[in-house]
Amino acid sequence: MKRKLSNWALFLIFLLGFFVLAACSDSETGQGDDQSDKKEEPSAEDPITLSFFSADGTEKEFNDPVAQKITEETGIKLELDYPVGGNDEAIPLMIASGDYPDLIFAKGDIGKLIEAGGVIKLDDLIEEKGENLKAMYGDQINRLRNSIEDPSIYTVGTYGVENAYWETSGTFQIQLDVLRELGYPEIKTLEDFEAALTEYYEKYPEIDGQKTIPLSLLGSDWRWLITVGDPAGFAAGLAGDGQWAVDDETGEATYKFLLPELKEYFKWLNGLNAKGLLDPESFTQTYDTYISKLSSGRVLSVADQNWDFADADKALVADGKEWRTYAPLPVTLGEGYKSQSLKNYGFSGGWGIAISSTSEYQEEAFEFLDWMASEEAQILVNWGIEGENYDIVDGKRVMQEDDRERMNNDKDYSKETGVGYYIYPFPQWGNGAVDSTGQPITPNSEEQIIENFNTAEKEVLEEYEMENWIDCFPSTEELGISKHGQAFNYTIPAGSDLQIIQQKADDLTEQRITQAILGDPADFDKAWDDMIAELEAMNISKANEEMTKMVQDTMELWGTNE
Amino acid sequence: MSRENNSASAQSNLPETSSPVERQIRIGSGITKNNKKPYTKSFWKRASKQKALLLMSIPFVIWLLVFKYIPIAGWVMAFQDYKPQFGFFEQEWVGWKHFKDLFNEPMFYTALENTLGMGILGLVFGTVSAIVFALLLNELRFLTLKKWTQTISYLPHFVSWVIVANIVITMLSQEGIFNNILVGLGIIDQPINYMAKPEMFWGIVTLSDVWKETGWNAIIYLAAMAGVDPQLYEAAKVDGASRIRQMWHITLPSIRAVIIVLLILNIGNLINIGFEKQMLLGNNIVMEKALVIDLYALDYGIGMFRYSFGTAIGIFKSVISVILILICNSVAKRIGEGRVF
Amino acid sequence: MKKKWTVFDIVLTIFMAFVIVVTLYPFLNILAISLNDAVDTARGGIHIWPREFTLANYQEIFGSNDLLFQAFLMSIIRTVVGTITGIIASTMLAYTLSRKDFVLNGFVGLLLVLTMFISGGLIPEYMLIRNLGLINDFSVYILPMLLTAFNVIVIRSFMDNLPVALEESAKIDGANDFVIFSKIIIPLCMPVIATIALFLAVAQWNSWFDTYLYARGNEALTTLQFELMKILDNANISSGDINSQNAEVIAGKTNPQSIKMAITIIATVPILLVYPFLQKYFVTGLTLGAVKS
Repeated sequence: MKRKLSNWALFLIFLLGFFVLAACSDSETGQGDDQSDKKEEPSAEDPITLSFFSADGTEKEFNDPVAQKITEETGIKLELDYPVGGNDEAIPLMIASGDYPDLIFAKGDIGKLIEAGGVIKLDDLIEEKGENLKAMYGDQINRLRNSIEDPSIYTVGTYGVENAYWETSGTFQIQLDVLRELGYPEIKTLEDFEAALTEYYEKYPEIDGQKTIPLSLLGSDWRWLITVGDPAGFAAGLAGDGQWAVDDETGEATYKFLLPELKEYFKWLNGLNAKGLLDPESFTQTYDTYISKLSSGRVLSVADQNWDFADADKALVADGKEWRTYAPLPVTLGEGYKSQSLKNYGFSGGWGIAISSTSEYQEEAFEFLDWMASEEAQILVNWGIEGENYDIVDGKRVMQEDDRERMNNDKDYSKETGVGYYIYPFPQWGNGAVDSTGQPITPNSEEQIIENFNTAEKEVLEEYEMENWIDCFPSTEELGISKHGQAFNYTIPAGSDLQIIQQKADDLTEQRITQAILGDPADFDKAWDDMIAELEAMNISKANEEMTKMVQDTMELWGTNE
Repeated sequence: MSRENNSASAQSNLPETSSPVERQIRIGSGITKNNKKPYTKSFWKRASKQKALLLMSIPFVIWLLVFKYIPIAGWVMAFQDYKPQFGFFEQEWVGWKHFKDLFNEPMFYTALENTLGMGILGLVFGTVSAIVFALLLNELRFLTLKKWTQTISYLPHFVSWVIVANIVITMLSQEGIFNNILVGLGIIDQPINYMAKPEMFWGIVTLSDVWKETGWNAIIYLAAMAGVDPQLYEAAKVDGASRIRQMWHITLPSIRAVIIVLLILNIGNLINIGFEKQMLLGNNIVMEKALVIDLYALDYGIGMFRYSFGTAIGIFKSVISVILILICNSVAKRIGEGRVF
Repeated sequence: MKKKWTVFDIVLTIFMAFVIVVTLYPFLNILAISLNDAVDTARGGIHIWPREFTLANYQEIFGSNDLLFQAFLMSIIRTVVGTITGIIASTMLAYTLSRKDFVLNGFVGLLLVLTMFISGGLIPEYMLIRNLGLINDFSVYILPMLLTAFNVIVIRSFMDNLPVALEESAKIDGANDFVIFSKIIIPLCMPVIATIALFLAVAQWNSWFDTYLYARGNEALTTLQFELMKILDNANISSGDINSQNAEVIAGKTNPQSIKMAITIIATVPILLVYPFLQKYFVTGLTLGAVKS
């Protein structure tokens, strides 16, 4: 034992020595770097490095082929920083210490940076040398403005300008096999939906030896909003305004759970639960359990977004269970309601990339952002490099076969090649935009979406005599363009009554609605009325007023209120 | 001043214990009594004789002041509407506003009740399970098994709550192993959805915690048991004491000081139970039993950038903790059962 | 000296075997999922054995980050240095506090204990570290974590329990306090020192937030836990600010369960190896015997 111990000691001494050496050499190289950071004209040979904080960033070096090309064209390298582990104190620490990166994508926290003077106004820069940005935003440029009181532009980017809608992000979805089995019925209302589930469930109480689950939700964590709260709004024909129901004409905003239509939806869920059609674990299961149930093919329907159960979809296809995958349906409470799944919200503005007030390279940073809005840059970030990722065939861009394949199936594709990686949250054209030659700027197209449907989906679509699932939804044109954008995208002042009341109301409704759904149908009305009374007691009308003012201010700022 | 008086008198009032050797140890530790000169002797005179001790503690006192007490200046935030762009003393002062907001909030009282409830359950079951486990492990004859149990029992400590909560919820689900066994044995005829029972939530949290942390918490007690003089056991064996009697009369009293100290520290921490396990195990059905102060502080304080409000909650918690620990410490000293400071 | 096994021994052995099974399960579960195909894992139902064995999850982690080896070394260095300095500091302070005749005893004790229950919050702490110039410096791993009140108090209460006759006789022989501390107290305290060493090592090994806050500007200082955290990036979502658009981005960032489990294994196995090494200090009677001889 004595010997062992001294070996251990030796090891420690070695490590200590190592550390001392390492520490010494570090500090020297660190200082060397500072010296070379002198202000120079950016060029491809000697690029300047801009630090870029992105609230939605992921771990990534700026060294893929597309990034190299960007550096070549602009002389700019990006050094990405992001809140690791979902840390939400990054912005306050930035403000407290005054150490700002050059570029900041702060999402909803931008208001604090503006208040703290941490970011600069871009109006003059856009006027002077923002040709590409001006071309991109056109008459939508007002939507970048900060507020009625301070109508300056601080940020650019995030969402696309000019979007087309070729798919729903998700809504009520039913298994393809249910549609086939029932002879392809028309399902437009909750009533139809329930009838289909009931009929199939009676026929097949078990699937592959396991109990059939007619409808499963995931209401045990934040996904409550995705699978319980949002679908209620969709069924009532509300647009995607988060927790709000907004009248797009008057700007009148109401906390949506106050509406009788939503009560009707939850009453329906309550009925489903009483009839044994709702998965009793909907509000207690974990996400993993939910996905594994869906993957087993025994869940007949979901009210979920596609991205939320993509893993289950993959597993089903891998198992050859295409008929157990799901078809989106324009289900609403009844004939009078329109599913808003294909709603065009216009350019939402609000969030975007800002340039910090302490940056040494404000001009260069702006030029970089402007360049990112150019046609050349947009084609680069969307398509990659000509000859490597795409070719020009008959004057049209065509993605190379293996790139197209990887783009659909390999989640590391965009990280490795950079293709598609630098679109969000930079200024970007939407998928409906075309370049100067009339070709679409993004490689997505409706044909491609249709091509990617699995065999079962194609068969079902044929039976319904449709090309694409969206054909049975109210069209984008029919629904019109939103004048106020989307209410959840607004920056609500920290510590305001609106913010606090909404948080309390959200906490309350999630609990009360869950309890009401799981309760006895005879008690539902009372439970609902009690909840409304509690909401009123927490002064929800004040939140309604403040939200209405925000919507109206936004419409005034954007010039959409006439 | 009176502190030393207390501890000195406490030592002479030691309750008689069965083991003679034990007593001998306690009497032996009366060194302080012999060393203790009358308090009238000046501070500086005593200090001058303790140069080595002073040298060994002053650097750390400075460390404590710098790293732990300077940041306390941040507490002024609770009386301001803190905006990070200004320094701590250039803010707008609002007095007790944030405290008033806090005490007028019904949710806060729910959170306080749940925090204390789960805190006390966790303290009782956590402490008892760790001590019992350490005692039993110490008695294990089969040495290989002892080593393995010790090593394996502390593994769950390294598994994050995200994963543990997942396993617990899966096991307790309607198709989970727990329901399968109970239905199989005919104890219940319908599977029970345990996670949807608010009245069971505290229990589930406590048991999960015991499962995860018992092995880890037992380490300290095992270390304390390693310090027990084997001659005590030899003597007891000669007296014909059974194993359980030995545990009760030798092992436990020998580690009593450690138990008491940990107990006091943990009582001080009753209110600091974190929020991770409650957040991960909880759901909307049981939220009225799952909301704890730290979760409330996160959602309504820092999560909303209300730094001042968050700080006010922090100060409230600190005050409760300090009161608790001062009470426990003085009670422990009064009954002669060790001290924390 | 062979003794008969009693009923007590048998029941106890069975009970402990049960404890092993129950506490080993989560770890085996993680290991099995980490070695299972990621798509297959979505189907659920994996317990202690992988269904579709693969090393792809580990390959993906090691392939996605070329800093891992360097980060691993830094983690070891900070753990070793942090543990040693922590032990030295905690035992010294604990010794002074165990001396009831020490003039500063009550004051320092209170000062220390209070730090367990009060904290200035993140912003003031960050500003302090920044003003001390510790940002991007190795010492930021060591200095702020030098002392933990809990550890010091545990050591001190162990010291309180030591037979003091030895200390007295050394005093009579004219040894000063420092000699008593290093020559007599330290050897007697090995079990508790081993325990605290374990606590310190685990705390050092597991911490990643300080790397993120204070040292992410210096690549040489990156640690294993931080690099793994970046891969994991388990977007910790509080219910407040979810909406369909940002949730999609967050969901896109989350990794398959299998990767998370593989990360857990890589992150914890090295530190698990410390305990068996320390275990020998937990043998009953070792210390007193050593002192007597």
